[in-house]
Amino acid sequence: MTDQPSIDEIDQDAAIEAAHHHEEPLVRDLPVRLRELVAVVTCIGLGIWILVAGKDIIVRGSAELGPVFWPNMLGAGLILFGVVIVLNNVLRGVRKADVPERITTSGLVMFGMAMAVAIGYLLLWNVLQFWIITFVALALFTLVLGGRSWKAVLAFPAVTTAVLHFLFIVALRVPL
Amino acid sequence: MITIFASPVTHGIAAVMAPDTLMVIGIGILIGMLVGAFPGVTATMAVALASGFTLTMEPTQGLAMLLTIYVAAQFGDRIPAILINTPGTPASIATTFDGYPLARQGKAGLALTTSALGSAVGMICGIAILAVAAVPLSAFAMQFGPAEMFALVVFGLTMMVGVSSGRIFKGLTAGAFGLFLATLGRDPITGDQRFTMGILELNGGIPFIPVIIGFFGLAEVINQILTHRKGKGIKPISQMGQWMPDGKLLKRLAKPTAIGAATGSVIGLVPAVGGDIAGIIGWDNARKASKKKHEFGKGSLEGLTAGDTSSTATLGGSITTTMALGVPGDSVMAVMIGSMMIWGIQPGPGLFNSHPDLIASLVTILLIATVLTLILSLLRMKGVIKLLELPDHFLWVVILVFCMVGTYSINNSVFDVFMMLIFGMVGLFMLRFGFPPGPAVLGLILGPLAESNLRRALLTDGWASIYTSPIALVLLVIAVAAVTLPPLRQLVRRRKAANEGKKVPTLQP
Repeated sequence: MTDQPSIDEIDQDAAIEAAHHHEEPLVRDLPVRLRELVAVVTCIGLGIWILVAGKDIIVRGSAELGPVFWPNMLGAGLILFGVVIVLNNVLRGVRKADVPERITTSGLVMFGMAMAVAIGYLLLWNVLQFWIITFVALALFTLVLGGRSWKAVLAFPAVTTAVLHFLFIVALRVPL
Repeated sequence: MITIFASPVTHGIAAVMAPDTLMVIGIGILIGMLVGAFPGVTATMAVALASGFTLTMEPTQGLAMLLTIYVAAQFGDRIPAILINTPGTPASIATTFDGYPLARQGKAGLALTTSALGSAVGMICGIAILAVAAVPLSAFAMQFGPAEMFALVVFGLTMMVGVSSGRIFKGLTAGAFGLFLATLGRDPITGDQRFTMGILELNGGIPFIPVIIGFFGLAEVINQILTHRKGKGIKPISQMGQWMPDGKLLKRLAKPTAIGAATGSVIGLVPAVGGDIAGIIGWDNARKASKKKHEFGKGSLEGLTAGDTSSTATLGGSITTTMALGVPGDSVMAVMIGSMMIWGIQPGPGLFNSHPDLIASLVTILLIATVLTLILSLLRMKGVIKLLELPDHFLWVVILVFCMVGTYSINNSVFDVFMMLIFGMVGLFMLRFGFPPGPAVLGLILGPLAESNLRRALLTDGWASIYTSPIALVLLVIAVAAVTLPPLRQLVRRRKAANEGKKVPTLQP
């Protein structure tokens, strides 16, 4: 499994270097390196939580190689990896490819509204008929994600709902 | 005669030749071509989304659908790489090197045709490897006991981490996180409850298809929404020029095709190395061997063919290691393992014993898919240009709704959809903070296998059962080497360069 590279701009030389596992210079800006602390805290926090929550597992019989043995190994491993990330990413720097594309304000607004529609869709899933709620959800999704024409807000949801109805209800017999 | 007709080979082929399976292959080709043609939809994402609605199918049909989408996406992704300089999936990164310059020179038609032919040759080489190597490899792996099986899982995970160049430590963390997710629910040996937090639905463990759809579908699309900027699109090149290559050109392309096929076939057998890396290395190898090196990267048909042949030749090798060892060859195969386990098919040693007809079915599906997709690719698809101009929001909406409806259809459970949404957010966090999701999914799928085999091995003979097994030892040594050698090699290079008085930048494993 390989990482998903940024597909918008392909730097030929960088791609060849990466494919051959050659090295590349690091971004050493302080904000970029400090951002890595979020990953470290998550890593170590999860590791500690696993070790603590593991104590609540009711163990029957021998505890040595019982149900806690493996989670404890993983919890300790996560803490260790967290420390290594501090040494490697925070103290030294981050690869250019690992600096994510900047989140835009409009993107954040679209995301928030799309999630609200998704949760509403899910809450009404078993309340309204599938085709009605799906049509409405599709129209709202299209609207909040940038579709404005009648084709986008009416025709596209209608066709997609019909395809989903045919695929899942008629062909695959899913009780929706 | 009767024994010939009753053999697993004919049985496997007949299962694929059934009309409904052929229809599924046809649908899979159309979906795969579309998936490949849309930049931003990876083959992994498409197979993850398709796993939502293929689980209710018969295993042969489900496999046919998923494999065909994978094959067709390998052809379709060349179209945007050539026409808008944007790879449809990461596997066609090398296609952009020469494909787009060729299109700008008015040779887009020729580039599309030679790319399709090269991809088909690569695919057929990969299928030949699957047909020849899968059963012997599986037979060898049948000797594995608990210690070797544990070592095999560690080997698979570290190989996947090792190729995440520059992300070794985050890859290991993601793998450990996936292994932890697999511990939720009941202990595989004693049956004790672990980390369920009183949630009844978690007693059976984390359902992995919602996690896969969340990681590879929802997280990707949300990231695209969050980083969307208006006016980012490039207008596709519509001047196609000549379409079919002449005999002289085909003869000239034989050498780079052979180099690409050989490179991809070897790389494909290394677990976890995908078509993207193979395509670039194949392109680079062909450049080194070419008399017209200066043309590479500026519109070389040799470079285009070598890269495409190499990237598609990995497919057979990756299916071989997935089926015979249970170690996925790439991210698509990791997702496919999840679907297969739900159908009751456990990839790994013993698979071809319990399903002797499967290898013939796989080869037949892949061959049919390759030939049909090649035919479709050779049609002059001017309509595809219109698809490339479609606004992003249509694609986002379709993916969002497919993620939700597809997840629901697995168990008819709204809880699963909520899990998918939660893991979509976890996947988004991983994406934004540089944790590769692949090792996490692999850890989740292979976790119970790793844990139960390690504990069984330790209960039998302690740690000695691992270090006294030559196979386990070799696998573990390779696994350790995969994660330690790249940083060590870099360190040595830097020392060497520093000793020679060169200024060396700070580097990261």
